[in-house]
Amino acid sequence: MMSLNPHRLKLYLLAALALCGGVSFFQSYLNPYYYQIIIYIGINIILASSLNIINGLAGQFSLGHAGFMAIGAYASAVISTSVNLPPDSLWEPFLFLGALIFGGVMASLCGLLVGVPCLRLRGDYLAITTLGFGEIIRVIIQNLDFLGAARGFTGITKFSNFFWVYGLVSILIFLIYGLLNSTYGKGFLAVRDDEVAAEAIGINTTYYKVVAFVTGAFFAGIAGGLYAHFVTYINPSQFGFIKSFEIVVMVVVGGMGSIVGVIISAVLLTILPEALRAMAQYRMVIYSLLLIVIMLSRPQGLFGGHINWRRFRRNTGSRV
Amino acid sequence: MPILSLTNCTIQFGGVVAVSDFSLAVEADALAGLIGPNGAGKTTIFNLITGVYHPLSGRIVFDGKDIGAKKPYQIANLGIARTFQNIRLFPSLTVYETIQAAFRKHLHCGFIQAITRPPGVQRQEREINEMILETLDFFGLADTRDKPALSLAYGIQRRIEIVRALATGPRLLLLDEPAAGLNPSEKADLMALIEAIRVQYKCAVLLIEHDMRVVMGICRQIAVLDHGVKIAIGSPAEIQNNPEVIKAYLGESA
Amino acid sequence: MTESLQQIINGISLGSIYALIALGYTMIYGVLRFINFAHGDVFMIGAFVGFYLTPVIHRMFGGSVVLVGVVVILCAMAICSLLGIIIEKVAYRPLRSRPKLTILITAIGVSLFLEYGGQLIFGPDPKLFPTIIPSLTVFESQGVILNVNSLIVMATAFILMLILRFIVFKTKMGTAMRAVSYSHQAASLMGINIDTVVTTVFAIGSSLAAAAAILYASVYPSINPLMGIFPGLKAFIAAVLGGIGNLYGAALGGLIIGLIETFVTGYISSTYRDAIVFSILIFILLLKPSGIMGRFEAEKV
Repeated sequence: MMSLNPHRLKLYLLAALALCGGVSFFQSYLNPYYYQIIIYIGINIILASSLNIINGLAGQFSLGHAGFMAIGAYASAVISTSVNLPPDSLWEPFLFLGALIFGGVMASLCGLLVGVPCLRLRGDYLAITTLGFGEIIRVIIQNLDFLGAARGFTGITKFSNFFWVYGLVSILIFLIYGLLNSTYGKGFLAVRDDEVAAEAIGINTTYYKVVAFVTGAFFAGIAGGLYAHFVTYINPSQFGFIKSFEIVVMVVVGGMGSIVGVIISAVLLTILPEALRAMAQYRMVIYSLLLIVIMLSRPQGLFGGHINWRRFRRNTGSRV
Repeated sequence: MPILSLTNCTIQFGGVVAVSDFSLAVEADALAGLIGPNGAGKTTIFNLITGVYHPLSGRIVFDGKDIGAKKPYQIANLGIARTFQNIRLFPSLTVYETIQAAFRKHLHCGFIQAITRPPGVQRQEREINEMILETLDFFGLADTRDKPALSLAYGIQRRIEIVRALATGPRLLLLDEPAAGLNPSEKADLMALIEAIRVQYKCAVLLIEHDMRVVMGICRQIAVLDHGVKIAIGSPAEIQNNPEVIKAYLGESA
Repeated sequence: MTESLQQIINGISLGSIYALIALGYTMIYGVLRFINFAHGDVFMIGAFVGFYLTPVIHRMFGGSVVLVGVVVILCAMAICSLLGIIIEKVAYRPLRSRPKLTILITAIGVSLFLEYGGQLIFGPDPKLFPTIIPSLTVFESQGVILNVNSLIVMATAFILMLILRFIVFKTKMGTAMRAVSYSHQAASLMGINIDTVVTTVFAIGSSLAAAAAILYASVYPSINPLMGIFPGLKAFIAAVLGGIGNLYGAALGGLIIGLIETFVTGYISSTYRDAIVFSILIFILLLKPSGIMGRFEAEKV
């Protein structure tokens, strides 16, 4: 996996961005249904990869990721609908970029708010707390009238297209890859593998956990913004626990910490429900069974490497 | 001027007093040993020094600074490194990456720079790479560089853990039972390694050990702990003849 | 004043139900250090078991209302304890030595499987739970109404908790359970079969959840496959509030949560009811993770 030359990364990124731009010129030739799926795949890749930063790279549990997505979605929608530009104005891309970044920043601020107090909690408890926060965010949005409350937020311009979505996918992958290969990034892996040993070599574990959380939240917010500006109508029920759970499934099935694995499973798990559209009522039953079976047979996911036994095994009475 | 001094440190867990009124001074060039029967509190003292536990009372001063209330990573950055009784390597990292993680403190960059990789950061990364390769070479680990650390033989894992600790550039190295699980020839290598480290890295070494041949062989000074209390301190010869020490290990003779 | 008294009665009644569910969470956490996400859904299954069995048992035992009630509860408890045992054996036991995240996700999977499977099998629409005990006012004074239902809920819960206390503190199995909750290693060195203990804990915990379900459905007769989510979550919060791993704590926590919920609904508003209970969880975890009677810290590494 480390076969790509890390020094050429920036070059690869520029090439990828150019490619995305090129492809997006042809997007109108594509069957709208397939186009929609491709966009959803891209958004899910960002969601799953951003959760992978928190879960897979830093080893923290987060079951409330949809909450960050929701914040990004609503925050970016508020910005872009507050500014009235003439149609096809040259400023549009900048407005969209600004809205997306604003959504990401709002989401990451929330990540900071949640992360700092909670990251000292142990595994199960952190999971429940993040779940709780995800729900609280949703309930708050549901009760805010200026955001449309339960009725939802309408009238969002459809800014998202292939270039924006896959451009951001490229940027995120570039970032994760670069992090993993740098000396700085090894701090994350050390924290994930063994916090006590990491502290013993001078790594500030809390700092790394918070950075992971905030970064993951930022990109979940970006994904939310992309989503909002594609579906043009959002409401709080789209960002509930089920959504968080779907993202968790993508990361777990792909293999926590594996960049490629998570991408592939995001692709598969976006296409699967569409393919099973006829059996919509069975979808969640199949999903949950799939999850149980994978956990029982191959918990490291499709591409996951090593699972750190020591880190999670909590024998009563273990000590340093 | 001792580089580390503990003064009257006490810590208890629930109703059990693990360490009581413990004092110790370690010189900057010391090679000292901490011995005692099982459960005496030796690892607890290591944990006190490295900040995993905080003493209920007493002071811990390192390099002139009071470290009694500091967090483990802060203490590590001040210059105390350690190994663990049960080897704690990073399961998903290769040997190279393990040492790289330890060299993290030589990299001066924040999150944004880590992502954008300006030329300054790239240069530092190159320098760190040099340092890692040099270190691996010095300790005979060059050919295992890209292997997962946990896939190697136990003796080599122990060595990696020590090298990882050294990579942080410590002034004091704490070794917790470094000879456990090693065969006699590996133990001899270990003893030579510790001596070499002291010379090359100019750091003090404090080790916990059960193997008396290792302790008596390399330590200049030994402190003996029993039930959380220091019962003796002195040179290997003095310790071997100390009746309190003999009583603690072997019990009263009839 | 009378208003408050009424709320208190309702609160204790609801709280007793939460306490029964919370006991299951706390017992399982005690022996396995694991939060069984699917516990609330076992509760739901208990309600449906009662729904389908009550007419049958009514026909068999006709006359006595008390007899029908007791048989229904016992049957639901038996069936759910079997369900709990099966879930543990199939989904959790193989993962016992794996990282906690794996088993956590599996538990979520089981929970969702029960919920959506339930929707498939029972149908998603709410059903009306049959009345076992006709609603009678036992006591009425100055606007405070004590319904026989509330009385039975509190009495049944109390009796079950007494039985549990007897089991845990006065029987060999109970001692074994407590030993395992301190240390698997030490317990097995003493000759205790960990698997048997865990199975028993799941059986007992699930049966208490089933009893809670029957009682709950008697008071709130609308049941549906997703009904276990919120009571389950609140009971879990109750267990954490009281100190997870501590049985008395679970009971206490249940009562407190029940009272808080009733008072918030009565005096503030029902929309914010759930958010407030959630916030309680977050406050506890941030301020005193070991809960009121705490045993285990939600410790940092």
